[in-house]
Amino acid sequence: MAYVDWMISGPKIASCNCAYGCPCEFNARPTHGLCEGLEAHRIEKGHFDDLRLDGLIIAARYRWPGPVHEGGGVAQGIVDERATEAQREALFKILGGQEQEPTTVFNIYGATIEKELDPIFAPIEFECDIEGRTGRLRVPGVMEMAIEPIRNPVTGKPHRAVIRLPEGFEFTEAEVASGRFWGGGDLAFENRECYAALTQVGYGPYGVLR
Amino acid sequence: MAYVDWSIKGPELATCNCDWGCPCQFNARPTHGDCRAAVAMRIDEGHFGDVRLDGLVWAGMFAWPGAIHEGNGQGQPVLDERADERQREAILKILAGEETEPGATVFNVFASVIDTFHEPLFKPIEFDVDMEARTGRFAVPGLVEARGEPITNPVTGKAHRARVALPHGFEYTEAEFASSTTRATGKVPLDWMRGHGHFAMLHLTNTGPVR
Repeated sequence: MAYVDWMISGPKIASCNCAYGCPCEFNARPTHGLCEGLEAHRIEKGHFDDLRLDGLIIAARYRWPGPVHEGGGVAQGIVDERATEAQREALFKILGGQEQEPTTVFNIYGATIEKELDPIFAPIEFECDIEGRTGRLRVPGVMEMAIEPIRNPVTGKPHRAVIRLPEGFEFTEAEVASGRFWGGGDLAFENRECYAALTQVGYGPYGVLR
Repeated sequence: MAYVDWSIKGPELATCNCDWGCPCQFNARPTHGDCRAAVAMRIDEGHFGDVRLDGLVWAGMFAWPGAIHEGNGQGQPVLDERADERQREAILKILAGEETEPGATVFNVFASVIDTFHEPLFKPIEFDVDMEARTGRFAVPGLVEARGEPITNPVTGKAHRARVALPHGFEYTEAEFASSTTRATGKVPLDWMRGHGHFAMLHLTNTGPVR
């Protein structure tokens, strides 16, 4: 099947309530039974057909009652308020799994979401230093996330760990870090000293760009 | 301080009772509270001073009541029965973390959190791994058997490929993560299925991993 030509690429930060290393990355069950978290992706370069998406930020927050693949999830998308009407429409098509294979990250997660809350259009503050393993996300009044290096429990020194999923549907390589996040509303949550990941990643109609 | 010049290089299969992905690799707590492990390595190339260690295999069974860094562990080293007296002494020194810069190798770090090293056993050790396929096995008949195989996807059943790189790690720099099934009797009994496993090419010296 022929899809519209599209691509979004740039740094992405994410955190969830699992322990460092998130067992789900290895197909084990989530540390605390349920899965909740958030993520944000700054589109350094992106387009949907001839529409440029460069510089826009997209984010999401979510919760599943168990492992992601068992379904029953609730999710909410947050789109950069600077996006024009046409850009919003393009981003919703991408995030909604249209114009792409059923095996992309948006379609795999999408298949496990039972309830989608109305999207939010808001200013999104985004910082990401993949090498330094620090990051920050702030959607005023909605949610915040701060990422810093994991510390060795004995020496206190930063612990560097990289997860490589050569065939992964979400990333090929991610730096693992420590996250703290909180948010209000229908998906209220608060977690600290939990899993966080930073990655440089791009997606297109056929999945992760490698 | 000057240490004896030594180096061991070869494939390792490590298995533990944590879930796939072993949180301890990321400094989180072990999945089930305690840590139990069986590990083996074939030394393809190795020496300790002027003693060659090529072709010898070592294995170890370990148990800690909590997270490894909290201590109170015990270990049961098993050495290749083909090793002669000098080779046995050399490998035992390496495994005990001796002749090593403090904190430089997994052996040196673990020595500080192991209270009880049981008397080493000298046995035939079967060891066979295929790093790329993430399959392998080691066994000491009547004492321990550990197997590694690919992690599977819970939905599709397909093999899931995941590697972890620890650029400053004291054991491996990069490992293929896998699923393990391990049973052991003796001083450190072990028994689990679908636990964590990893395959790695180790290259350790008195100053730590060679990268």
